[in-house]
Amino acid sequence: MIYMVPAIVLVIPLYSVFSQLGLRNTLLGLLIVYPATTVPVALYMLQGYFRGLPPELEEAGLMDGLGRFGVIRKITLPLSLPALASVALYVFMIAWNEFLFAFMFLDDPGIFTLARGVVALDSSEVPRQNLMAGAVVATVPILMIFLWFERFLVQGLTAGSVKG
Amino acid sequence: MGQIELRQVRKAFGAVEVIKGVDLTIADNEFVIFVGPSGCGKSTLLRLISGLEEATDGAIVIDGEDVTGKPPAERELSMVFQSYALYPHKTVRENMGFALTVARMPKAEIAARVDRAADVLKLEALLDRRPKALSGGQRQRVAIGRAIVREPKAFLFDEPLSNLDAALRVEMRLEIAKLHRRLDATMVYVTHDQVEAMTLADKIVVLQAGRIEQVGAPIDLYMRPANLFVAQFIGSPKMNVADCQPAEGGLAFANGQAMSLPAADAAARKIGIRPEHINLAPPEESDVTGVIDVIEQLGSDTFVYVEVDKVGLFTVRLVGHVEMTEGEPAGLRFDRDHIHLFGADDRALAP
Ligand SMILES: Nc1ncnc2c1ncn2[C@@H]1O[C@H](COP(=O)(O)OP(=O)(O)O)[C@@H](O)[C@H]1O
Ligand SMILES: [Mg+2]
Repeated sequence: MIYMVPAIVLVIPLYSVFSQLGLRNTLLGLLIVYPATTVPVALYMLQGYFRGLPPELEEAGLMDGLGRFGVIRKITLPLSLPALASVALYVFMIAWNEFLFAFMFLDDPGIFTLARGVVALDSSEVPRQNLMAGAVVATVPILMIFLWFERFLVQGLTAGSVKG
Repeated sequence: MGQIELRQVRKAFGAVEVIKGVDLTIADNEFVIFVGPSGCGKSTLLRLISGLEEATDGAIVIDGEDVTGKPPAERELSMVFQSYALYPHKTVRENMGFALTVARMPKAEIAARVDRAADVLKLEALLDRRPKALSGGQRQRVAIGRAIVREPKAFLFDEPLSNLDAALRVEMRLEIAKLHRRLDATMVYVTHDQVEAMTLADKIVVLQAGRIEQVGAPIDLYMRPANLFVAQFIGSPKMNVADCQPAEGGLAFANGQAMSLPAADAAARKIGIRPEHINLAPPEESDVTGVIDVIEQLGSDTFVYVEVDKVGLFTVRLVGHVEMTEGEPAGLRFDRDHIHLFGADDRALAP
């Protein structure tokens, strides 16, 4: 739901609240803002996947002697790995690339996020090509994470469980 | 051991009552089959026994212990789902052994039990495959294997064969019959397939709209249905039913024809006669006369549909291949030993 309003609408009230709470120029402030904006999106994406899992699978788990939590741990979560991996990657990307909040809240160059830091280099002394190189380097971590996560993004993990 | 008792069990989803007070005793080692039209509550009743649904009222007792509020894990029952519900992220071996792993049984014991079940179901060659690499019939076998390995108090089957093609269904039906004899276990089985019900069951429970209509051995239900619903539900093609009135020495039909039946109850309002208990006869020997509407040749049987004016359509089953012509008149003679009479309330009258 938070993505139905432009982020700039949120920045202004958050700016004044965080200023009063002393959270404005801190990483803790961003640590609060980023989950608050991304968790709803993540839940929204995951609930569709959880609902799509055949209920018989969980019932089979109950019949096999698991309790409610056992079913979630041993059946629902393993089957949801691809969805969990892609949602995690997506949410990480949102936070990693986030610029607006970092730009508005952070003043101290010592705690700049990477996106914010690259922009800070934009001045007459730093050559353009170095700036572009910075932007490219900023994408590398995401690339690495994606390559590692790819193993979880197997297609059709639930294939063959129900029906013929 | 595996004796199951339902006492005045009720189940409502919101305001809708789906199971309306069911009393039933399932004896140890008995093969009980629930049949009934779609939506009558067969699956719900099975799920109440399994613990996947909680009863709104009444009690469920397994081996003398009241398990009404207990979760499935504490009931020691196995269920085979219509859709198989195999764990896709586990191999066949892991699927079959999963319940034992959950119960923390030693690995060697699990392997031994899985191997024994795989031997019974001819699954040895498939143990290391994943469910998606199996055919429909093989998946069904694995699902049954998963149920066997646990050595439960009772097996619950919810239309286990309805996703298989006709040939495989016959094969698996025989296999389930053999399995029941071999395991000597209590089995509760839901189906809407007549043949499965008649061939497998020790006891059939006919359900309609959340109530039990009749309980009995398959042949008893066929020979002595308690009411019109059971009479028409058991048997295929279904029993012919016509309105009738008691008359001097027999019954009279709406078209003015009459049949002799000295023992007929004066309360009779409907007559039921199965297709296999009607014969074609010359007009002077027949009970009603009509016109042949449609003929179906099955090779082993011939079904003749005879339209009797003002009385209705009768299905006649003749053994073997019989040559006949559509549109010709036909006389029907009812076998006096197999006539069913029903009163105004649709209850069967004593013959
Ligand atoms: N979870 C549920 N919520 C609401 N209604 C249900 C639920 N499960 C079953 N029903 C209703 O209960 C009735 C009986 O269902 P079911 O036992 O599945 O029938 P059957 O297996 O005999 O075809 C149906 O009318 C169905 O719509
Ligand atoms: Mg059903």
